[in-house]
Amino acid sequence: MLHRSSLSPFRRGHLALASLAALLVASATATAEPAPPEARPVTPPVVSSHVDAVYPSSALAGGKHGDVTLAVTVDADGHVSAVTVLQSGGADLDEAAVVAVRQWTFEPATRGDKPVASRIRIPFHFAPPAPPPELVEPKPMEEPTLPPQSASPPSQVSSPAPSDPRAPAEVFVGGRRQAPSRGASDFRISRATLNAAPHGSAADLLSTAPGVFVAHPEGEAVAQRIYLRGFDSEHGQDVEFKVAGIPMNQPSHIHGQGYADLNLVIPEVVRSLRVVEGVYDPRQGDFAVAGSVEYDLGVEERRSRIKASAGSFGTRRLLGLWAPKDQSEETFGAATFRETDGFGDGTRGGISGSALGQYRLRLPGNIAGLLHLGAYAGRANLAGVVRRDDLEARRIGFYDAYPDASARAQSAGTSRVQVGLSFEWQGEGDARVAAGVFTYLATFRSRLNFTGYMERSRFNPDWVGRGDLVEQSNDDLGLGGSFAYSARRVEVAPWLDAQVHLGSDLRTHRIAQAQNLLQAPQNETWDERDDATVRQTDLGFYGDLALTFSSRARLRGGARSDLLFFDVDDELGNFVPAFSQRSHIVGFRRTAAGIAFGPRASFEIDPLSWLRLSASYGEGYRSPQARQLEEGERAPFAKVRSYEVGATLRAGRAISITGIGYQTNLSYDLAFDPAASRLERIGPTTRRGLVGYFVAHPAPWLDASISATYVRAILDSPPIPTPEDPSPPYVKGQSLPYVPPVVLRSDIGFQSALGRLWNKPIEWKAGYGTTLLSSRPLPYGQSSPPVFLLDATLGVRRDWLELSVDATNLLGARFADTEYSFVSSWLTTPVPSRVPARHFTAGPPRAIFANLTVYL
Amino acid sequence: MSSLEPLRRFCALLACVLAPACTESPQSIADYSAVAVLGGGAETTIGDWQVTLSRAEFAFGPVYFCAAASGSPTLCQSSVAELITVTTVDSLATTPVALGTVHGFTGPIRSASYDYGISWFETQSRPGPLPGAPSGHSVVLGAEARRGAEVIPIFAKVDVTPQSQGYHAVQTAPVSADVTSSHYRLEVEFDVAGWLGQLDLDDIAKTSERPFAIEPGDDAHSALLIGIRNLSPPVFRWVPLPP
Repeated sequence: MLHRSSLSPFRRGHLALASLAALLVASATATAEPAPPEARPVTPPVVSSHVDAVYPSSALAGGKHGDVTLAVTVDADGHVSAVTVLQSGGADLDEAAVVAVRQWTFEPATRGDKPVASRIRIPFHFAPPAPPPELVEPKPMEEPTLPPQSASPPSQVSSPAPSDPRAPAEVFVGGRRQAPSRGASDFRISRATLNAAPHGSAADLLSTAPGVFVAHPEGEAVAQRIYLRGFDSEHGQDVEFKVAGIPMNQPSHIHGQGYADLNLVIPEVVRSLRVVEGVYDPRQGDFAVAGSVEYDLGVEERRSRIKASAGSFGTRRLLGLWAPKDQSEETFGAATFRETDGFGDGTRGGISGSALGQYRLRLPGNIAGLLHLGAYAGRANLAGVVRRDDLEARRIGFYDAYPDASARAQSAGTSRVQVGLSFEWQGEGDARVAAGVFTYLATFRSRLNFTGYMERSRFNPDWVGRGDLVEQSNDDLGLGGSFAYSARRVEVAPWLDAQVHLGSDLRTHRIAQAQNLLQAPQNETWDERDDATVRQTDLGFYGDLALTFSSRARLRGGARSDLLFFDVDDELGNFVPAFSQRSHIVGFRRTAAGIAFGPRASFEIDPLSWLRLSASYGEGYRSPQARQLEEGERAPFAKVRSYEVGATLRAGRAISITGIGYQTNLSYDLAFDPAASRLERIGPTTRRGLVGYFVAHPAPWLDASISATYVRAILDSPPIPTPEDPSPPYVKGQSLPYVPPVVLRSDIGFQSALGRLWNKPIEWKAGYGTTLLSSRPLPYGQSSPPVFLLDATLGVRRDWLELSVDATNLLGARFADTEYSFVSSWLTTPVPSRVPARHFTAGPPRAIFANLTVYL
Repeated sequence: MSSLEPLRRFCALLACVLAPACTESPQSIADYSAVAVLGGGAETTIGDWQVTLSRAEFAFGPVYFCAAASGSPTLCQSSVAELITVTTVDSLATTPVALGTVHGFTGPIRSASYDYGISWFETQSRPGPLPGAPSGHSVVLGAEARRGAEVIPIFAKVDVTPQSQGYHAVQTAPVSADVTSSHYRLEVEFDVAGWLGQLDLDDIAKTSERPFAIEPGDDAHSALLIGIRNLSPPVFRWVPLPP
């Protein structure tokens, strides 16, 4: 069923003529024909402020008249996010019109009470200074069409309409396909919020989401470590990541289950984030334990640019971004190179580069396609960990690395190349078919030493104390695809609509992995710990039913099931110890499989126009590490159950306040084992918490996002016995260490016009982000000190030139990025300690970066 | 109930919510002192021989305690407590000798592994004495054995050396304790007379070497090692102290 809205005649349209230009300021409203509740009428955006276009001096000589018609995308915050020239009046007039309209602000379009992105068409008429400027009425438009489910990409601008000055402005309400909300913890982070504070990497963008803290304890070439709502999700074990629909988590990665390196993503091309904290959407698959994150890629400002940055610690970065004006926001190409000496005593230097591009295809038959290509490579040296007692005894500095050869030999190198191609067909009545394929090749090699000099070779037990420089390698060739079908929305009763969604995801991987011990500085191998080839396949199906009761209540729910198959060729399995007589050939090949199933549902009701209540439940899973499976074992999935209730209050379009209570139960959790440099099981866990989230856009020049998250994370049963501790102590309600109970985050951004300089407007922007981590519990009743971080940015732009300064950790807080507790021996005392001690990796000190951007 | 009671409760709850101190931890740091308790004194009898010690110094430490029954480094890489100071103990002292501070955590202790001032850590190519080892040895003894008119002056330098790189001289000794706080004192009782009891003084008397020197490689040295390592090991006692 195609929902059409007819636009009433202009509610208001006014034109203004400047001395050198004619400008149309069009404001229009649309009234809707009776439509099903889900397809509520869309109210077009209304102009809040505008800037006159300036008649270009280059056109004066010829007394040039000209018409320029622009298609302007107004985002849900009321900002102009993209401008496309539909009708050109020449390069100079086009530019003048674009520059002017980019400074306009709007009350955004709305569907019901919800602001949505929209596209409007604005004609400009340019006339020379004399005769006096004339008013120009808007161009005629066809009756506007509301794409189903506010789904069409903003770049899919309709053909220019016939010229009828009396016709209403075209309102092309669309924007990106927004997945329906799955409850109060389904957060959509806009570019405005992402822009408020500086973010050095795409992973750091996540810190804008409630309850998230992003750390980089293992340097620039190892994936970030993410804490989310009481989960220490390490490098991705508890968070499902997708970039442009392509899964980033790598199953059975030797460095950590679900390892997801987001360094491939260039922050400047992230258009928005969707962060679902919990498991409530049947589309959430493997690793969606604490939640899932989707990176939506796109470049809203359609101008290519070159950005050069330089700053603290010899950091240099160069970005080239191609964003042609006549293409979709999702069509872009970007490449960046970065080099740094790193902070501290010269052990954190790194080099990296990334290329990321997409091309939006327009195909006949209402089919859209997207070609995605990404590549990343990086290498960095690592400083590793520092013992607290060594720091307190002044045997080492806070930002230093241990001086021995093994500590100084730490490094990591990684690469990933990925290609994706997806198609989407949009039918009537919200019917939709989407399919995509992807493939990637990811390599990883790290040399990390957490424990100093404690290990003994299993290959030759007489070899000991040569340095615990653990080398890990993981080569993963992944291939996969997805298919999604949404049936036409069906009107079951006048008060009830229903729509069925079905989908499938397929992933298969061939992984070669190894773990050895190296002796620095020559990096001779002195022990082998792992050498395996893993073939792993995940076949997932889901069904999802959306029921809409009148216009105020929605129930969405379904179930997901995944079949996982493992084939492990463990070259070192059935290892023969040196003291045993050789009785067989070393090796252990095994297969295992399992099925994970989980229902998910969310219910939303709007009892009042300003209040939304929601409740959600879901069961998700995390796949096991293949190497730990036995022959024929039913794959022991980690099962997660998520519950939450939430309430959102909206004060108009400008302010929303959300409160959430949640609980998550996990059947078995994983924690980092420094001796093995990987994750090991610790048992079932529970997290309960509260979230407050405040978002405000009270004025065109201000964006604010503030969140507070409290969580209590506990271990539900005694820790798993080990040979060292056959009966580990346990008390009911035992806290999970390392995760901060309280995370406060704010992102405040300002932007405004500063005036004009040489006939060009000057814009300034400023913003800051703050993060407060409460004291983190550590093992043995200890706790880490609270952390407060302030990042800020200040910039000014005139047309094609932008200068800005970014500062991270502006207050110069000396903080531990990550804390650990384990045994190590770093040769700093005559007698080594064997008792677990506090270790930390230093967080980055204050850093200042200057950026110069030239728009082409 | 006072009108402020709900507010107090709320504040208490809020403080509990925000403070990690409210979190439950099954183990906490437990640091307490250790002392050497010396049994015999200067005089002891070995068979027909009356032995008088004129010098009896030995080094003790480091000591690692494990929650598992085995204290071997390969089975217990992570200790629950440790005494990593190396102390020279004068066994002729009449009062307990301080050994340093035990640093560790609350919880059960089931085994100990330790050295007598000579260690062979993972990064050392050969065993070596630590500061605190008297004259670079584990044990230095000066004694006089008397049987009637027969007198044998004895001087012994004993090296209690770990057998392999990365291991301790005594790899596993059973102990039993459940430490619940820092209100403990670890008492380590040594039986130097028991060590000497392994000497075959009759056999030594047949030699003409006077004073009789015992050094690594001698049969007498091996006998002392058996006493030190196996037959007369130290006894570990955790003595609760009032809070």
